[in-house]
Amino acid sequence: MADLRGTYSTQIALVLQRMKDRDVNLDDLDPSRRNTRNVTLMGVERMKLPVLNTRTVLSSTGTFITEDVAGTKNSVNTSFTISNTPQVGSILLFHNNVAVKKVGGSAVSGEFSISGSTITMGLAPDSSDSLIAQYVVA
Amino acid sequence: MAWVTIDLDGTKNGANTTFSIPLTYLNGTLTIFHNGAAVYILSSGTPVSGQAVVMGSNVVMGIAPDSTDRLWCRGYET
Repeated sequence: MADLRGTYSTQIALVLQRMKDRDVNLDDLDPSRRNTRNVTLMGVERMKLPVLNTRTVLSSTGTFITEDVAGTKNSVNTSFTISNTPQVGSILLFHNNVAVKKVGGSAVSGEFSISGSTITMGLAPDSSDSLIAQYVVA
Repeated sequence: MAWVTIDLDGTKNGANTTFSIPLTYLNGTLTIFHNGAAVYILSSGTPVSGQAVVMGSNVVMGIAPDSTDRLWCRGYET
């Protein structure tokens, strides 16, 4: 997703970021609390700005990102993508909560390689596996 | 300067616990992974399983890695 801080005011972007950080979704809030809890959130709603869901990624250079890696997990596919190109070496990848080592060449089990925003796993994740990346946006 | 991921130097034989970090890293940025699990880093004392003592470029693991274990670190190289 585009960097909202370049589109809306810094304050609005910060609110959206805080909502994301806290896994807050306006639809999940009780309407009465929406009216009293946080005037800023009301402001966001009144302005009918797009509300981010918890999986939306704000991307701008230097931003620290944690996200689900996108791609088909079927025990066969080893190619996945992340939303941005990370700063060199900044990425940490967790497969079922276990850190996977980044390598420069061909990856084997327990390893992965990355080119741009494309990740190649040494071991194809199963459909129920978790695959999470943490990185700093380049 | 950049983040670097690299294997620790040393003999993995189920007995040796002393390794070295082939990296000059920014203080506080080092993470050690043993078979993918982050190792808790102590600055002194006697490490137990899941822990390591790091003093400069030297690492003493609380448990000796086996030959097939993966032992690597990640730090911000200075």
